Amino acid sequence: MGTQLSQYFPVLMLFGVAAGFAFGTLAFSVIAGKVGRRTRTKDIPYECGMLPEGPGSARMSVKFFLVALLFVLFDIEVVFMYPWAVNYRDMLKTNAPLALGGMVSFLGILFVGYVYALKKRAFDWRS
Amino acid sequence: MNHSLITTEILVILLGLGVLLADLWIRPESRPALGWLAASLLGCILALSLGALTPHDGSAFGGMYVLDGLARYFKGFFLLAGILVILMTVEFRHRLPVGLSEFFALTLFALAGMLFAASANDFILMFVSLELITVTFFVLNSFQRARLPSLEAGVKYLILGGVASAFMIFGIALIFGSANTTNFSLVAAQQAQLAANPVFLTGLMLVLVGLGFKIAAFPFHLWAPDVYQGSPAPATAFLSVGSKAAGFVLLLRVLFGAVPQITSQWQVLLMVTAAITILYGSLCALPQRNFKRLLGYSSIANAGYLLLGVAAESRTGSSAVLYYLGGYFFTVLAIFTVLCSLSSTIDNDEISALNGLGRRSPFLAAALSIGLVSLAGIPPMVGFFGKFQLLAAVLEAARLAPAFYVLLGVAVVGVVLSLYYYFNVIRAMYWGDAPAGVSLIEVSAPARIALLVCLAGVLYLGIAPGGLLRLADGAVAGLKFSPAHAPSVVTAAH
Amino acid sequence: MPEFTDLLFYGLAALTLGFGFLTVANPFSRNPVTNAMFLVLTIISMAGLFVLLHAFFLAAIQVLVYAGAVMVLFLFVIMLLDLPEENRRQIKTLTLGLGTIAVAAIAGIFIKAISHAAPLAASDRWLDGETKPLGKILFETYLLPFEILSLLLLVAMVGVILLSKKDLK
Repeated sequence: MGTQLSQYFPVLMLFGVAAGFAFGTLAFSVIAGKVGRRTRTKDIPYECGMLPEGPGSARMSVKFFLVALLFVLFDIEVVFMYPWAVNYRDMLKTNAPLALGGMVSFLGILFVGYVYALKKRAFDWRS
Repeated sequence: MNHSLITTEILVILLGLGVLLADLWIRPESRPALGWLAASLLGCILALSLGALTPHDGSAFGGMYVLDGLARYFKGFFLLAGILVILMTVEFRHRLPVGLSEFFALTLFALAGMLFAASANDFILMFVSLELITVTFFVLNSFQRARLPSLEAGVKYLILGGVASAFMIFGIALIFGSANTTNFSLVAAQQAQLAANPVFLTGLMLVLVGLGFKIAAFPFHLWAPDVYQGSPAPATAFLSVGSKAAGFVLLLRVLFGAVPQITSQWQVLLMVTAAITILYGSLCALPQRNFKRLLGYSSIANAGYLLLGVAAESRTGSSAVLYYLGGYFFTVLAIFTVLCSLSSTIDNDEISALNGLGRRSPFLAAALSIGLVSLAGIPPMVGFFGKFQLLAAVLEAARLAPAFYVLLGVAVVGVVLSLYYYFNVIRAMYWGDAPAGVSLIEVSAPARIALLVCLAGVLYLGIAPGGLLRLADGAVAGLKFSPAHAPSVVTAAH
Repeated sequence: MPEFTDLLFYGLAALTLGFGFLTVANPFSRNPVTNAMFLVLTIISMAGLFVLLHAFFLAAIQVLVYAGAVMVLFLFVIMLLDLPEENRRQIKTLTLGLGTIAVAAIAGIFIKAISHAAPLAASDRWLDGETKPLGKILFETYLLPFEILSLLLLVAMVGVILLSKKDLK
């Protein structure tokens, strides 16, 4: 087992604790809670109100999708900056203009996309 | 490192970014003018790229990017295609209610992807440039978002394109795993060992699946008819000319640049694919009633003819592929320019809608007829000479491997079938009855320019093929054709 | 006696395959949200495989971007389409037959290739999957594809606005 791999043991423990907590609380509520008899009428929300009709979920607006996709795209953009930043000092010694220029042109092209989205009111929730 | 080699690509990308930004501040009425501007600037880039911009051949980015005769040939091809497609889009603007400028910008970005593909000498660069082309076409194909067929075209292209990309990247992973490099030249240097490595061969096969999707070869052709039918006409035109040519230049580079020895062992595979692709495209085109769908099947058949030249595995074959693509370019763009000109008056793509076009607009009908006659391969059009070159290459190969005579027969059958379905369209134009109460059709200036350029190309290259043929022959000089047939030559001589 | 990392590899690989199978063909539920959740588990198991290769950065990205952001997108699309509990679709025998043949052919090629492949010379060094070598490769050898990637992201951005913005001028 590699030494670096053993450093990940706490992470594994964290996963274990998280999963244990989730399942534990669920199991506890089942064991400790009173399991009453469920009927169809009892499961209906708002017992004293109107009977619900139609599907329970409403169709979501496409606006959420637009925001989510733009988020993912900018997310991926940021992801690339991390390995770049880690290597930046080394690259400065060997090829400084390319080290900076490569990332500036990458961000520049995406900045055009940002300006485009801004001007097309893609971030404007009400329009 | 010689980074100035990619000046052409940088200029095209900057032009695309400029168009995208300019659209945000100009008035909607002046968007067609933006198209004119973009087309003329692209013309300047084309003129400059032929000489002054990148005077010397060479490679950059650690041999990942090469600029050689093959790259130059295809770069000129793609730039000219970009200009004509933008002019075509200006003509098509009545059917694009939103996003005309974005259509120009996306066309330019796809063009940049094709320019990179023409120079790709590395599996990763090949994949990324093909992805740029494919993702752009996902958007271009579904551009008319209020029209169901266009959305259908976009979704079909998205799903099948995604599967093809997955195959290709998996193949590249296997290639990298067994060759420890992604560079074509470095792969070529160790192909003797790699030819015996089944993991490498599997990877190579998966890469060929991805390229087969781009060129719409059997059995990866399923998207072509629906996408051709549903997409906006300029997008279809660019797809059938640019995207297909990008697939072929990469196919040539992989097969004859990276792994010529393995290619010579896979000749039968290429022959069978070519034959089935020709027969499938031609037979399915016969009953079509929709003109754009017909062109979809015709493009499958044409991919088959082009594969004949690849399967011949000779310098003659490859230069015939380049020459045929050049002729196909002018022919297909002429046909789609006519469709774009008709888009403001005729609202569907059925062949019956073309009835009586000969009287409504003699110019458009004549242009469409010349295009179709050239596609069918009748002299003196360029399509004839292209097919002639390809069949000559097949005949040459048949002296070494008699199986090529079968391929020759299949090609002739395909040509005969194509006569029927192309002439069906011409018959509708000249002998069909025009619907009552229709007027003459006006042809605007940009369409006239684009059409005249295309028709001049079709006729000039058909009558005087020498220049382009020499160019194509020079362009394939760098490809390596493995002398696998050499033993059979010796036995034939005895 | 196999090493501990080998056992981890087999365990994670089995989890990846199992969850992957449950993503596409879950016999217990036809709800697309359940399938998406199994995709999350598949991706997390794959992140574990990346950790075994010492590709810690890729493992983190796998969890953050794929299991996080991209899955949110998937869930949005599922909710956007608002699929009812999907009915079991009738699959034609011909389709099923052809699909089985295709899958069997590909699987056959893979098995043949892998069983005939000579194992690579045992490499005792770790693969260069750590963040620093990864960045070095990305920004030196593969600088050009990286730059083209920005264009790809831009095209995606323009595309999503064009296709899904409601009142585009």
